[in-house]
Amino acid sequence: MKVYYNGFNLHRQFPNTQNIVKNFIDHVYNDLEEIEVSYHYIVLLVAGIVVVRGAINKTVPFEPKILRICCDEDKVVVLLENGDLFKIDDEVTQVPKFVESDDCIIQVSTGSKLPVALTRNGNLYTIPNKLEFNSSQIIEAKTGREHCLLLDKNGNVFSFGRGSRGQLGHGSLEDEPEPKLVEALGGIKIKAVDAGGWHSVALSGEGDLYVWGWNGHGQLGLSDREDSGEDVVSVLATPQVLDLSFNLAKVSCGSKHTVVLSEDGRLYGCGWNKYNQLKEGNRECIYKMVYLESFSKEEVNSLKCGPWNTLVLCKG
Amino acid sequence: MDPRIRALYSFISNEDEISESVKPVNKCLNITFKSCFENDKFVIKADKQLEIESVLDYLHDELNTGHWSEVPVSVRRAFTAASFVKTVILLHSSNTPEVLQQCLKALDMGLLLGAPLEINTDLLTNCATYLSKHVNEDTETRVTTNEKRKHNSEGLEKFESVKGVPVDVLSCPSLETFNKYFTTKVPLKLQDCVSHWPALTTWPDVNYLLKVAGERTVPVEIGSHYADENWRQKLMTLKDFIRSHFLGESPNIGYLAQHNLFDQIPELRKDIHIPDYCCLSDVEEAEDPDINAWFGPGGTVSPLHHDPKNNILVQVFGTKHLILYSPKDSPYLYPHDSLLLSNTARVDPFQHDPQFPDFTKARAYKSTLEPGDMLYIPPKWWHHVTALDKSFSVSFWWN
Repeated sequence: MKVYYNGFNLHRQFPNTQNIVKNFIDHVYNDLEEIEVSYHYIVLLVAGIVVVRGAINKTVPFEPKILRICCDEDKVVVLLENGDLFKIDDEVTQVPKFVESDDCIIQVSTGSKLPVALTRNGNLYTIPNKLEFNSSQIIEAKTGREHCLLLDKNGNVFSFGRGSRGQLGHGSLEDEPEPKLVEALGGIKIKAVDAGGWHSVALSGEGDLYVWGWNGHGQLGLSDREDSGEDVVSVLATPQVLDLSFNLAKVSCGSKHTVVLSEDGRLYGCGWNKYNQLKEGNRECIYKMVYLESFSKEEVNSLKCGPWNTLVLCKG
Repeated sequence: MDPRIRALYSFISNEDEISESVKPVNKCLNITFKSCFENDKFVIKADKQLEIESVLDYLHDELNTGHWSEVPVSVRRAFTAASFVKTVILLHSSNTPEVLQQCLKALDMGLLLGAPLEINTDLLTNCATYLSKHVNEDTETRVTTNEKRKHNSEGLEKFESVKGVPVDVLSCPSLETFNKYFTTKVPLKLQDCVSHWPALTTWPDVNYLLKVAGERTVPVEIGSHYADENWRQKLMTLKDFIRSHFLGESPNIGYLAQHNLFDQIPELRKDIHIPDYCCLSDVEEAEDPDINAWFGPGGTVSPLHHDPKNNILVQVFGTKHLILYSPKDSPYLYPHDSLLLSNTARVDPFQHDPQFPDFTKARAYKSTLEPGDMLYIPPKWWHHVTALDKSFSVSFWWN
């Protein structure tokens, strides 16, 4: 896989030798299946082996096959095909089983303070606690620092967790212990969601982008101006469509920034830029969606932000 | 060694507490933090800007996670220590006034968001007091404010239009007399009790505030009042606040509200004294009162709300109108449902909204505070506060 990356690189988590990668640089990782990015390291899934690079460097093989990896600033979480869950920090330990005996974890996502697991029977856990919510329709779970977005087959979005910065999208700043339908998106078929640190985005089947949550660094891109967010709210508790002149294909959120890829392969972004996780320059915050770079010559698989990085994953 | 760095080091009483402060937070973060020091010595290296910035930014993300009261004290202490290290690294970089300003900003961020270290308790406060004396006293920051006091006559009429009974007034009552109001929890306006405060003569000249604290960073509330949806908090230097919101014509009202300015800047603490009345207490072991500054232009509003503690509000300069309601009248004031705003009423004392028919049953108490006046507001008493003109008040909250 060919990975374009920029942003924070103090720990040489990426192959380049600059502390801050100001412009996108590409690197081909052979046999790469997945890549996850945290503050101090990245985690690669290469030919079935977990490789950690950065302030921590280690290689951990697993048996049987790995289904999914994710990480936060303290640990790497590995989900195996048989539903076993492992945690890598100073050592490798298996997470004690918390699902019912006839059930099996099929998806895991870890926010800093909110590790979430989905099971085959449609149960949802904030590990290791079972929630009341049950749905066999959920196809995607994304966690921010302390909130979680769920997307179902029909394009409905649910959210739960911390709501203090409007990140749940229910029109209030209240926390929600259980997933609740984001009603403002009712009737809109959503095809992708992502959770930033304290903000949320949803991409509709029509290619429109809906944003909500914290906008303190311009991560919602609501302003008319690139250099100032004085004219817009710092917290938006109800999803709002972003008025862009092009249709979108992909989206991803960092802790305080957002990037989108247009249908014709152009990358745009907004939000916090201190480590040049958007583009080269001294501007610390960019308050509206600005053009970053064109990837129209690449076959882009997905966008993947770290807290302070942006990655474009391409075929090749 | 740069004499200023030497001076900063001299404020340290325990080196290990600083160098070990990040350890409990995160392993990788600790490696980054430790790389800012010489091996085995408490000497902070020069070229470590990016390292310390990344430590502070990481901690800042942690500080923003969870409700403020739930942030682990270890994270807030680490932020304090890292703010100190950043200050030293900045001083290594150059000697310019801009760098001194950046140092003060870093120290104030540490003071505002961090928690005091256990052993090096006053580290950042001492560093900031020391460095703020060294910031060039830029003559351009002086402003002229010999304008006549402008009373907002519209505000006055609005206040007059509210029917209510005046709060009792006493001139410098004895503790015994005050105790009658304190034990029965009845509001009282007290006059002539703070004539000895230096603040009454020094603070009305904003050049004094600029000289003592112009470069210090303070939290400012922007927007008409905190229950408004466009309300937000911003950090800015006192100088910028005075220029654009206090004297300037910024369209947005800015209010330096409910901020403990006096722990942050002890130079200003010297200008005020805790009223003797605060020694009366509802509890066995009373702590020192929380002291907050309320500094802003005319037109600032605190919407109708109540606080859990006893409150003495002292007017240093300017005029404030207060409308109060007893806790017994709470049902007539329609408090907000949400947890965050449950101590705030939905009614506006100046507007009768048919949505809130029972509001007419509430009995208003009124009081006007002029410089040198203070008002005792008992716990849970609802109060709505409007500044008629440029105003500085100090509140004392205690149990």
